[in-house]
Amino acid sequence: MFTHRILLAVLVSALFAAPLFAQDPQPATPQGAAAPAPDAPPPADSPNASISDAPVGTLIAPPVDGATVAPPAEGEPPADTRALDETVQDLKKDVVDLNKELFVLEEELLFPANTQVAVFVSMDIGEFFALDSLTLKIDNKEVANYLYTPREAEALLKGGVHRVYLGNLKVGEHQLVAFFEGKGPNTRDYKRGANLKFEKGVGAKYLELKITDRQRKGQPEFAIKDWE
Amino acid sequence: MLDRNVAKTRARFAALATGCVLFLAALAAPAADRYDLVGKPAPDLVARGLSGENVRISEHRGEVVVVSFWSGSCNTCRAQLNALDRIAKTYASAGLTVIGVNLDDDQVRAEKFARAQDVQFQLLVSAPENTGRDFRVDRLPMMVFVDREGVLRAAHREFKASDEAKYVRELRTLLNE
Repeated sequence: MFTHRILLAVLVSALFAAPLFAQDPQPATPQGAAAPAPDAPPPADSPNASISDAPVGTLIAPPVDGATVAPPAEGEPPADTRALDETVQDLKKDVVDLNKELFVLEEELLFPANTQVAVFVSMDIGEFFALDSLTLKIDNKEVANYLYTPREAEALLKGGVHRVYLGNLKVGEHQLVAFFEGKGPNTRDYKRGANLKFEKGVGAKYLELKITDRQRKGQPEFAIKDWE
Repeated sequence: MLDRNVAKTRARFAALATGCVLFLAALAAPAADRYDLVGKPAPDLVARGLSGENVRISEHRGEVVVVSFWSGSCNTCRAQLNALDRIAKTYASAGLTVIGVNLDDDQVRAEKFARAQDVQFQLLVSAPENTGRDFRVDRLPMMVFVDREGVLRAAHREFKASDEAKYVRELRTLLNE
């Protein structure tokens, strides 16, 4: 029982003593010499100190905003900073290159060329149709459902092409069905579908969903075709 | 003598039990308010807004985005949306975007609620089913702050009138980054 109490006392004292040891260690100073105050100015031989006008034996006040130190030419960082900056830029470039290589490698591994199928969306003019969403089914299974923001739709109208699906399919015959939703002529809700039976060969297969305006009918036209 | 020992043991046991309870309570309190997604890239979300346009959160990269999750059956949500509207009007020019996301199953009710709100920011009423799970929404109202890099920086649950000043302080910090 007595031993337990001694142990408990040791533990408690260790607990209270811990914060004392946790304080920042002060540099050891020789006996008789006062420790420098945290706000004390740097010694005269400090590289930051200006000694030109100071009498011998006086401490120099630290430069304020670099006023007493000859500043580097405006807009030119010191040489060591410049070298460091160059190193950082080189490292950043290396990271970007590495990321690009990893991305390509990932795509090659996940979607090998012999099974790869990609579906792209493109739009022409868009006078009769404003694309809002697209649902894609391959072999009766929904593989993609994409909502287009006005910014994305605008990018399509400017000639952009959107890869809406990337996946794998085995060699053979497959069916692709696409449902387009949006605003049709006279800004009415508009929903249309298009489908295509295609043969997947050994190489990669790229399909294009093309939305075009049929001026004569005043209606949009939706087509699926092999990417050219 | 025996009775005194028994009483002492009981007192010690009671003290130990109280200590354990307090310790567990102290552990549980921060755990309940913890939000795992802070510091991680915000999940993307695209949904149709009240105006009929689709809104995608990732398109607002470069802006500070507040995503507020609300429900039509939550009165506090109304107060929070109004507070966010005031903040959005003040800081929109500094690059602040506020998006309200409804998490109701009943879309008609959600639309009715949304149309009754006098707010100028986008209210999304048809969020995908996985939205609540993606953003780990565990109570309503709840909102998250996303910085200009697309990183989720803070999450706030519930709402009190005094919280508005705190939101402004945090958002100003994000806007100044």
